[in-house]
Amino acid sequence: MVPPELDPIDERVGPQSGLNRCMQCGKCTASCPAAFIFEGFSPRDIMLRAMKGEIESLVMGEELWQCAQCLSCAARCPRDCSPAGVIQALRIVALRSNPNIDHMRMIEDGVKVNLMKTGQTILPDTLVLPNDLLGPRTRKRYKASAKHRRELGYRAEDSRRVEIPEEDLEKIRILLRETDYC
Amino acid sequence: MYATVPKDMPKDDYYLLKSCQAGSWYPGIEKSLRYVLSTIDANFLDDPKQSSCIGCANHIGVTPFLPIVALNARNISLASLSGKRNVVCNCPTCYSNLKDCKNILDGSSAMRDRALKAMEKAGLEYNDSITITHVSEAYLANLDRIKAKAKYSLKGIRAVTHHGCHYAKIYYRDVASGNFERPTVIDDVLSGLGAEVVDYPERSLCCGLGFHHIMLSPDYTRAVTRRKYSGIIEADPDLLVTMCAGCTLSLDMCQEKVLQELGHKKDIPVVNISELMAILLGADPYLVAGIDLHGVPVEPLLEKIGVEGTR
Amino acid sequence: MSVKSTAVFICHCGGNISDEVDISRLKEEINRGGVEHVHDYPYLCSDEGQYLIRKAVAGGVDRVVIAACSPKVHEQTFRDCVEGAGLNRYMMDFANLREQCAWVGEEHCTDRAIDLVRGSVLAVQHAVPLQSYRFTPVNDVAIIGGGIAGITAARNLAKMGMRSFLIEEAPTIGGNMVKVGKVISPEKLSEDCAMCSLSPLMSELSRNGKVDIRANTRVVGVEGKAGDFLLHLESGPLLVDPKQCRSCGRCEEVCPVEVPDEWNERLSMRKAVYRPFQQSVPASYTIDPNACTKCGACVKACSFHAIDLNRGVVKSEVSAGAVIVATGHTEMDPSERHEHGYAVHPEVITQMELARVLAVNGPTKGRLEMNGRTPKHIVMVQCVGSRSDKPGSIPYCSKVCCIVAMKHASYIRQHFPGTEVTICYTDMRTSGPYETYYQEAQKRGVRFLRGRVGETVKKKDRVYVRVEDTLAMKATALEADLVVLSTAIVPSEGTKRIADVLGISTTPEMFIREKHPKLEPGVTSVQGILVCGTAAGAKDITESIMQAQSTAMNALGMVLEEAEVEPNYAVIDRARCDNCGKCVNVCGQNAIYMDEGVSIDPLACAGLGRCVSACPQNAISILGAGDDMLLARIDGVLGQKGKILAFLDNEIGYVAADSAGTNRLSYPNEVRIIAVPSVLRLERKHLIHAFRRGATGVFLGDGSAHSSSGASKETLAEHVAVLRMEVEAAGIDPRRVFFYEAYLPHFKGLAARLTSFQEQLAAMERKE
Repeated sequence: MVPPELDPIDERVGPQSGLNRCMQCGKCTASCPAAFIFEGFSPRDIMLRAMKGEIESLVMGEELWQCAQCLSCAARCPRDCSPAGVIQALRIVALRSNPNIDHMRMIEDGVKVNLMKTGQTILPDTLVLPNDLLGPRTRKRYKASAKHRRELGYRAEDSRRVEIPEEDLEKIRILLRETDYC
Repeated sequence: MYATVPKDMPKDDYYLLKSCQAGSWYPGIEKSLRYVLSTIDANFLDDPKQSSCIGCANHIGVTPFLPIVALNARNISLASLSGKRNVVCNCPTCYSNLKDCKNILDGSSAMRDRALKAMEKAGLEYNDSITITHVSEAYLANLDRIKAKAKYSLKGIRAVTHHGCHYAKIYYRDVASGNFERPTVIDDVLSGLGAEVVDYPERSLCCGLGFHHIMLSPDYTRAVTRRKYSGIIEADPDLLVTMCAGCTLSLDMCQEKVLQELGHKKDIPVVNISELMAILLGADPYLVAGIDLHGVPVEPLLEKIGVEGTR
Repeated sequence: MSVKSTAVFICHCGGNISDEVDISRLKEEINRGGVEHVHDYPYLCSDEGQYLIRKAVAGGVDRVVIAACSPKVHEQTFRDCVEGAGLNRYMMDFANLREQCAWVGEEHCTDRAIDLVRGSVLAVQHAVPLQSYRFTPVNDVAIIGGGIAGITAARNLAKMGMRSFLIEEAPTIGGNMVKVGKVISPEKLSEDCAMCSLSPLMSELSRNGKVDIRANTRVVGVEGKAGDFLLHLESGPLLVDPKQCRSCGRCEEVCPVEVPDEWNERLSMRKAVYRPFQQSVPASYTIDPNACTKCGACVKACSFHAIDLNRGVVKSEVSAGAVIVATGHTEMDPSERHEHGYAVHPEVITQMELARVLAVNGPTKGRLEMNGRTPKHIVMVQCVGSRSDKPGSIPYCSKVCCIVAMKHASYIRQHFPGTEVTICYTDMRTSGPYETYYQEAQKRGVRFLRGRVGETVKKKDRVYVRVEDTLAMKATALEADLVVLSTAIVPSEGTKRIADVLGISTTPEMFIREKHPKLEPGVTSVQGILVCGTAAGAKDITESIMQAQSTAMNALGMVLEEAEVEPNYAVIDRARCDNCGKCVNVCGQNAIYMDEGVSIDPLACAGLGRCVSACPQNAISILGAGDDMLLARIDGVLGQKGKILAFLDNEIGYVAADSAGTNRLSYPNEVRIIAVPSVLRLERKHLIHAFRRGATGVFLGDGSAHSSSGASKETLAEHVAVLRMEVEAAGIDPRRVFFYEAYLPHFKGLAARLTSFQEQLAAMERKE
């Protein structure tokens, strides 16, 4: 059964989520890259808890944020369920109720500002790669990216070469307001 | 036995759905895409009015679905009314996210009604007569035109491919070539241009980006790119071709360190399919494809292909 | 109207009827209707009662109406009685004065009785003498497919003295069971030799004079109908004459062509001229026409002159009274399920391939050896292609894979100590005695891991199986040097092809569809064609044998004796028919076929009457249920205005109404019931006629969808919708036609619906 807490939020927690047909076979977890990295992370277990209605414990936990949304679970599920879709919907619930995820709320706010200002979700400065993922040569080249961006005719502050006209931005803002986004 | 779903891939009249990730990280992908479509004389519209699809925030789980559906109702209508009805996405996440939204809008639900009400408030009419494809499918559909105009060939190049998960695994029935476990859209394009495309272990594995993971949980990115490259190096390729700006970022930027850890000495240039097509059609590798923005130098590959003017 | 030669007999049923119905008023009314011979008797079914009837017939009466209990109780008794008196048994009509009159309600019983008897009197005027359909079938049975199911069916028919043709496409009979190597016997907790149990049966058949084995033969066409089929066959090319061949094997020695051996799952090679295996039946050598290069070496080597490389395909025909389809299954090819790496990594094989490896007559002579190496860590992957809604998979459980995996795992643990075997399962399905074998496998050290495998990858020459141990909630990569896929059971190519050739229905997965899997397993959609074994879905060997035995019994019943069918089937008037074929398409029983014009098989016809209303030429009628009789009965039972006419199907609806009476449930006085073969028999004209005669409503009750020979719910719904539309077009409110899906156990529902329909009609009247 689909837990009532999830019902109004997202169409994807409806029939296509599979919360009414998951058979707990574990093919999702076996196919999940995150499950082999984060101890105890299991999309199958998330489905089980969601089916049992343990929404509270799910949204308060950190597992929800360990999924990388590669959708291997949904692609391989023999019952055509989508654990990743359920996770997407639960993340929205968590944003409203879990006090320990301010770092995610920062991303939420950043996206909101970007969208209202430019109609873009991600801008060049939205994501900064952590230094320790990069080798020394890559680090050097990564630092020079702003300059090469300009060479291509793209500004440092926009992901678009030509920005969205102001009158269209106004329509975008109306859509975002009318859907209670801000 | 997953029969490849024969898909009527549109060859012309494209509406470019620009990706904010590509524009932010590898603007050369977008520039290359325009270059390719102009060079092969395909009709397309680069509409400045189009907004971001919010697909990445949708997956990160920081934006509710309703505003996403509403914004894409507008994008779909823009394309429908423009006369260029074949929406071609630069990014697999745009591709699947747009299909998600179209499904909601084509159905009947409270969410659809609310999204359309918002459209009405914004003075917009919902209009849907579009097709949705990924740009790599457009290249496959136009392979003959690309081959006819190509200045260089990939003969003698050993390539591996990585198809975006959001292209293959969400609308898995719609994969244009191969199947979701082993999509071969880019493979077909590359081998059509002379490359030797080889398989590798972990072919269907994620690129490691995971959106917020690369920033907030780099353990994930580190472990997955390592697993991915441990498979790729078994094929010992000259080139890794991607179809998504996000996959390019993760596999390109993390490669130096990962290959070092794995003890593999040879660089494997990571190039997006649009960049590669543009270069083969004679585009400037720096001013159009923007290869300077890549973590792994692309020049050695270009020299092998015989591209002139590398620095 | 002259009803002079009609006699009506009213039974008191010892007060059951006469306490409620005013018999003298009833007699008076019927008399007034012109019937002179109206008699009553306390127990009409007694010898004395029946004597009254015989006496009347002897006195010149040629039509009889029995007004008594339900025809379901005593109709046959009185038909026998009438026949005994020298009248055709169908010159009699029955009025149900007990279950559907006296027992329904106390008031107005007599009115209803008068109407019912009047209906019978008018109807019986249109009765004509009818004969049962008798038919002598061809005694032989054709069995298509020579696996364990076909072999069993042939043996059983032979034991009962019946001759059969066993038609097998391969060069030998034996089927999949030849390849499985070992079979489990759960009681003994042992793995026995499959060939040792199968081979004696095969050689017994080859000597059995009652079984004509046609190997290397395909069925390419069928004509005729139940009791008299003609199958068109194509054999060969039989380049080796089985009658000349002495199986010396010299041809094989000299043959220069080598191709993969399908009897060893292509794990070893065989020659172009070969014998599939030592115990093959027929025992002859055979030449694979696709592999043979016609070099002629074998021709020279054969001292019996058995080989002629220029022979072509030979056509032949066999006649059979019944056909048994036993074309079996095949293992799903897992190579398109890329996540498992089959056909990419040589370390990944199927259970059938493992069966060949473990078989003493297999490619390794029974040594556990794959690609020249002896595996030490084996992982078995369950549910590959089964229990999945994904494209290319089948949704059902393939039923035998859990047991096959356990069989191989236990055998390996027993015979190759030190080998680790892990079975990754979704659910272990070991019903019945196999549970003890499950325990035995655990005792022998087979590891069971509860989790469905995600993928198999090979890195640096090592193979890993990724799976979640769901009970420990741990994602893990098992290292393996042999991965065995338990793949789904899917219909064989032969099964798919024969369904098309014979025109029998299939399931979405292309197995042969059983007409009613619960009540009529082994019966296909076409009368006279039966199915057994895995052609009808996944089964283990024992289940296949059991179904083959019962199917043989069923076939025996079809071919042994003269068939007799009561005259209530559809007949066609060829003079009117213009061969438009509409009836062929609407017949749910496949009883109508084209054969020098439209023909109807009385054996297959269920007499529901769908074809009658579909025929634009009015060329079809149902014996004993003609229009004139039906319209006359409507006239009779409606009597005065204001009645509700209830048409109930004979099988379910009418019996439910009897049950309502038996349980003394009442329904409105206005209701008059007429039995019909099915609601499908009714046409616009019948309903319009009823309304013109003053009916306020027409109640259509049909439960035939619940019986195995009935119409489908969809067909009924469609038919009723059309009737409603036609009634509306004639200016009648379509709400006056009510459809009720009858259920036998829910007779209360029938009574309640009749009541609510009456209330609804009354409310409509008030409004008007």
